[in-house]
Amino acid sequence: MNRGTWMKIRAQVLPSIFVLLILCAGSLLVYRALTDEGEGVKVMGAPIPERISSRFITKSVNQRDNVSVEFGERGYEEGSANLVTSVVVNYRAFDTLLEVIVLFASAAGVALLAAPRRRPRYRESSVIVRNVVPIVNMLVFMTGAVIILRGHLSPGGGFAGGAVIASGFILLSLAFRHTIRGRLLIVLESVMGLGILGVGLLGIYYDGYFLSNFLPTGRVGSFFSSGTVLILYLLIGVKVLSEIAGISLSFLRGEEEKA
Amino acid sequence: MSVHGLFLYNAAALIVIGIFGILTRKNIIKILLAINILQTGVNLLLVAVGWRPEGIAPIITEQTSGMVQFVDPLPQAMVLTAIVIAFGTTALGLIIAINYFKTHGSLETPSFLYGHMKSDEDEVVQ
Repeated sequence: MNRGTWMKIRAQVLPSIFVLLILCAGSLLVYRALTDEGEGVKVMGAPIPERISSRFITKSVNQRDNVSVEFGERGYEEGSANLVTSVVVNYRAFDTLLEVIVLFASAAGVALLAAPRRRPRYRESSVIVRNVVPIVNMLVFMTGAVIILRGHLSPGGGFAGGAVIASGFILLSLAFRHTIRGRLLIVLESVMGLGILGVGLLGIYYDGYFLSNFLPTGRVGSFFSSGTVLILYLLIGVKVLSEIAGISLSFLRGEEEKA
Repeated sequence: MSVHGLFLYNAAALIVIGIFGILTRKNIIKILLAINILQTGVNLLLVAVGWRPEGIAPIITEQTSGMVQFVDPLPQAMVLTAIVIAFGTTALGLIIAINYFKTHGSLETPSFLYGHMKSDEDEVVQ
């Protein structure tokens, strides 16, 4: 065994073995934590009434025992039928606001670091692509809009629907030359972010809490049933749409304006 | 092994694969893939922790209103958050990888312990 082979083994195999040993030890610790039989509430298999989400399921943060939310009833603290949505946009709306800010920071970083580069030579798409893309995009936009608007009734919401519509914009910009301008996306995103903050401040004005659900919550299961959740998810959807489309356009063509 | 255990062991396997990839790979793209595998494992673990026997999707409809056993909606909401953050970090990491390739001409990170060793099997990125 010559020296080069030994160096190679030392550089590639030994770190792998070391990392595997560390991971085995870590896995043992986590397994022990998950299957511990000691006192207190267990990580696995804690009943729902002992978890915090029982408050979210009964749609009341104040202690109300054995309250079950019926389809079509009214008068709850929050009226959206999809419980995940009511957690994301109502009970933990502040978390979602900061998450959207993180997404904005990521989009800004990508736009900053996307180096100016020469525009690649333009080749016109084929007839099939030019004719099929508008038809497909119509379906994509309609699906995305439905996912955003029915986020409080069925699985989906602003994040998923925004990603769907952004994929439509990516398809457009791959097929055609001039589709959407980066500045327009930035303006759209800023307005939507200010809109989310404005809804939160209106919550302070009406109820005294930031991002409070101040609109009436209608019957569970109807379209206008969740107060501010519908407005907030619409704003979040358009904001996520413009951010994802902006990131994708940065990757596609660099910063054309600066070059 | 129950379905629940299957999900938990899958999540553990994905997390271990992800950490192993982050610590041992040298290609930046492979490190980013490993980070994404790790995030998928964490998401799967969160959803599996929120599962309960005979639970159904936490959406109130005409059939499932009343005292129906819902699964825990809180981990699902957290996974929704985590997916969006994962998208943001991956996009930022990819643009940094592009800039690294432009300045260094390679996607391999040098090993500070043993130096960058060239051999015939090393992938030459053009």
